[in-house]
Amino acid sequence: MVSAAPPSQAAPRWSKLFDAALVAFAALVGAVHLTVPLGREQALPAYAARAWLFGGTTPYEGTLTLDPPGMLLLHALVAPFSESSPVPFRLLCLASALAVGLLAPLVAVPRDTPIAPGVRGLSACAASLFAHGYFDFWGSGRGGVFVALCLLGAAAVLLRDRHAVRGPLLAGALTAAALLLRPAAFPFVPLLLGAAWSSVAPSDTKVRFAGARRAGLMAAGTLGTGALLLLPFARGHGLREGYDLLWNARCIFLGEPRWEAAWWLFHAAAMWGWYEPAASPLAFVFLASGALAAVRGDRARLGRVGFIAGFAVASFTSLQLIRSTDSCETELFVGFLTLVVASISQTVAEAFPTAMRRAQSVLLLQCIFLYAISCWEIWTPPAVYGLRWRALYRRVVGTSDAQAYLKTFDKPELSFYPAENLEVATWLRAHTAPGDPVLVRGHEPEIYLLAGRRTPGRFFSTGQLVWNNCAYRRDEWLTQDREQYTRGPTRPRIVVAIVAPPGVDAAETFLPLGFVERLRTPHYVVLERE
Amino acid sequence: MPPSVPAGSAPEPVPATWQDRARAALPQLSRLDLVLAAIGVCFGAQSLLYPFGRDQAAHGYIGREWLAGRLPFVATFDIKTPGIFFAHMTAFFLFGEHMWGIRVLDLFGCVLPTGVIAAYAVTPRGERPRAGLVGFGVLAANLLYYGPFDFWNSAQCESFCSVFALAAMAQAIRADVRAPLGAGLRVALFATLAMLFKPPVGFSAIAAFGVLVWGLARQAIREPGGRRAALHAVVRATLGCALGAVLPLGLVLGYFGAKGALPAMYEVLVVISRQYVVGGRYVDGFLQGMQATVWGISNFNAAFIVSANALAIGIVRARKRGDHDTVFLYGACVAGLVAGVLAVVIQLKFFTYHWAAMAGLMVLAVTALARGLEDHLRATTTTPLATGMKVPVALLVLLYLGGAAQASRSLQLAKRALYLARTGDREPLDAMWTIPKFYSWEETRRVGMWVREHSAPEDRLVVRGFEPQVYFAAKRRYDGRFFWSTFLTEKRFSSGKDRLSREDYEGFKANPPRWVVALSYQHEGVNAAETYEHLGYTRREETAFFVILERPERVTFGEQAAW
Repeated sequence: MVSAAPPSQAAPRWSKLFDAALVAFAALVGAVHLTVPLGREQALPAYAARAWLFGGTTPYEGTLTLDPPGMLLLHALVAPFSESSPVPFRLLCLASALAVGLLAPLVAVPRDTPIAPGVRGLSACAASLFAHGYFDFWGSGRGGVFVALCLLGAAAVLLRDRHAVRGPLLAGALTAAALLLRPAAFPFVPLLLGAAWSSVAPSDTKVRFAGARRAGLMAAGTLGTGALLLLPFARGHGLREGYDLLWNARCIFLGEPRWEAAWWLFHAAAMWGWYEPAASPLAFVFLASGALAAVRGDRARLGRVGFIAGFAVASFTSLQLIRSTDSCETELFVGFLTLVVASISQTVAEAFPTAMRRAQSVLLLQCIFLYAISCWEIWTPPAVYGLRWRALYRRVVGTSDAQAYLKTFDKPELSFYPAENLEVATWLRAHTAPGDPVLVRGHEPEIYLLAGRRTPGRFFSTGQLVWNNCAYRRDEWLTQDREQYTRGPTRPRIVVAIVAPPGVDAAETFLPLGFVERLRTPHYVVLERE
Repeated sequence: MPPSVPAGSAPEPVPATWQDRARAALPQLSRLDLVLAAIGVCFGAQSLLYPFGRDQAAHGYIGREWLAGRLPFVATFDIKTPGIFFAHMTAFFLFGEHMWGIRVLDLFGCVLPTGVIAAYAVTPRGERPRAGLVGFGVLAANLLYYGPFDFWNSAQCESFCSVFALAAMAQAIRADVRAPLGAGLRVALFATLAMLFKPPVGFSAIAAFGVLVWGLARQAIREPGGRRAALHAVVRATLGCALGAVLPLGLVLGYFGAKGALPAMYEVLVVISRQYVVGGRYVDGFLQGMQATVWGISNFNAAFIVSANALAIGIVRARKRGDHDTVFLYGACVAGLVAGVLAVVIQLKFFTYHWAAMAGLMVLAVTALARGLEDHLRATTTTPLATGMKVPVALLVLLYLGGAAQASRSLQLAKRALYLARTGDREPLDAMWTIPKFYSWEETRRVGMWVREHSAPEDRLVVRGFEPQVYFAAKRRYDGRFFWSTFLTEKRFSSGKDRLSREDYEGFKANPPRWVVALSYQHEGVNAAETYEHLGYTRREETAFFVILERPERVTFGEQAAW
């Protein structure tokens, strides 16, 4: 059973090495993601950000995207490093996952308790494993880890920094960033405000309304930073269009209405199952340590357990608000799962003060074993993780070429073929100049990125024009789209059409408009205006 | 937590009469016990709404026929050992022809006793289970059994194996060195009963025997005579084991021998079963087996993984402080878990319900840990929360809720059952028993109801494929041996496929049933509707998976080839 013996204050040298080795291992776990391409959903904000940065097109007004402003800002941040390579963005994802791991112990361990050796390293491993192991190129980098990072940062600042002004303001700024990355993250706000309220420095406890003041400052930080970050979107009608797309058009990305009673519970159960078989044992051990803390009257530990539980509830609530059944939404759970691992690692270290490293290694090995078990299940995402390493190994040793490597990312069920996208993009690069207007039909924004080309029109993707969802403003948008490619300065020189039934995506739509076929691949027809 | 009277403590006064002895053995039941047990049983009562899956229907069919005097193996075909048929026969005898009968036996005959036995197993001999322990055991048994195992995976052979394997282990843990013969006899009796339901549980029998030997030896070694006394006790216990094993086996073999059924029993249980085991394995290779094992133990949510860790830590710590009784108890639990896993692995199929055989041993481990935790809390804290099994119960509930999918399934069931009670519409509830692309209870029920409405009670019906649940929905029977036909069509299962097919054909030809339910997705062979149409049968109804055919006035049998 758990004893309350605190770990040694002066961490020996091996413990630092142990932590460093674990962090390096965590980085290695995520390293394979540096070589994967962008999926459609990452390419979409990446294109909108580049169009904004290099083309001067205000997001939402000039490009139809449903991504929250924070994601566009993030992509705009990495765009200068490379216009077509996914590596800077993937590097940011990896760094964020590691940062989540390193921040988690600051939140999970009470302020006055020294963080045990190995806890930071184990948390980093957990964050990297959850972020990269359970989400393939398609589902990773969709915002969940970034949101978790901001929220954990805010929590760490609130719980660790007792400065009356600096802590709350910084936490507020990070909360604003989280909200801009994911507006549905607002269930975390009451939790963080509560943390601000209750984490008053002992020296300030006699100050009247000290808690309220901290909470107020945090709220002010959130509002101020939020307003500041939204300013760049205010050019033209960016904010109005953004509001229209993110709020009025929310029926597009809200799932099917579920009127069945308690549907949320079943939805939550399905989301939780994503991380099995590792998640249940971890959650149980964490909750058991909370129960023991309650029995022992260890208020500091109980407070942190309560905070992490609140973080978990807020994570679930945030996903329930979206109602999406898309499994990539569960990326948000990386935050609280890492907190859970950090808390367990600390408990293990305290329970085995003389065999700390061995006990933590056993914990890590079991987590890896459970994860590896799910890797062998070929129809689950973790299985794909192993395949990624295998494909990369073959690419590195030269038994497969770039084309064959890219083919391993094919998703026929979604008609997504990155190797073919690269082929089309290469043709576009060779046959067009950088300023030439190019229009890619369908939902294939990665072709623009790979080719380094743009369309002057708003509808760089036809997803919202053809998908079988609530068809918000569809007629109006279809008319606008047709105007863009039939007349005026937005008329494209090259159209990449889809081999598809007649409609806005099909080549047949453009042939009567004076376009002729130049290139045909299994899924694309490249047309040029004569 | 010593399983025997601690050294140095005063011996308890010996009760004078048998009533006193019985009273001294009864658990200390508190209000908490009753509440926890009631909650556990209410949770398990969801199973009373379950219909038969294919397996329960096959076993039930044989049990029903046995009750009517038609012997398993001879008059009906299945490769299971007779225990489960006997259980179904008992259920039909007690409750009539209902699908809930076996569920009642499962709940009150297996799961409820599992909790009680586990509470006794972790209590030192000579003591009564402390307040809250029996309730905890019953709740744990229900959560750890009805949580992972749904309608398809419960009320199988394994649930009976589970309770008997636990009983054997409990007897081994509580064995008294002063009566090794009786202890060995009881251990082997329960272990053999478990094996009569499914032979692979033999691993649990080995584990129980090992624990028995260990327990007796460690008791004897403390007495005068030391090693010699230990050897003496072990020999006598082994003799008892031999007697205990022979008794049920002799009864079963004697019964079937007296009825002249031993040759048929041998052919099915030895010859055909061997082919089934070899030809029907579902994993190839170590890694796949390892994966299947981990997914299997994940059925218990975190319970197995957490218990295994906690037992290991508990043993290390108990050894450090010289608490050999705890080492023994936790060691027995570990042995039980290992044996439970091996009993599944050896079958090489890793079906979910195979894991139910170790549910009892899982409950034993959880109950032992709960008792240890309470002891620890009592010793280290003074808060009222630390007593009365409150913390262990809270952790048990968390353990169950950790597998959110299981909790949500039970909630779904409750919702739909309430809807049925309110409106009389059973469609939402029936939809729960459909396993996509595998099993459609709704459809088999519709087919059965159709046959029931259009046939007379004395009409004979044969259902092809492995769909014996139709017989129960239709309330009809077939007096041929092959009331299901998988062993006639799957060569990998049965080396005697051709001979069995001939036997089936002859039986069918001698007395063609009025109704045939064939499979719509097969177009040749014994399962196909076309085969019966060639004999003159007429299609009367067709669904997605089934075709109902009716016999003509005169059936024309040509060549046997189509079978």
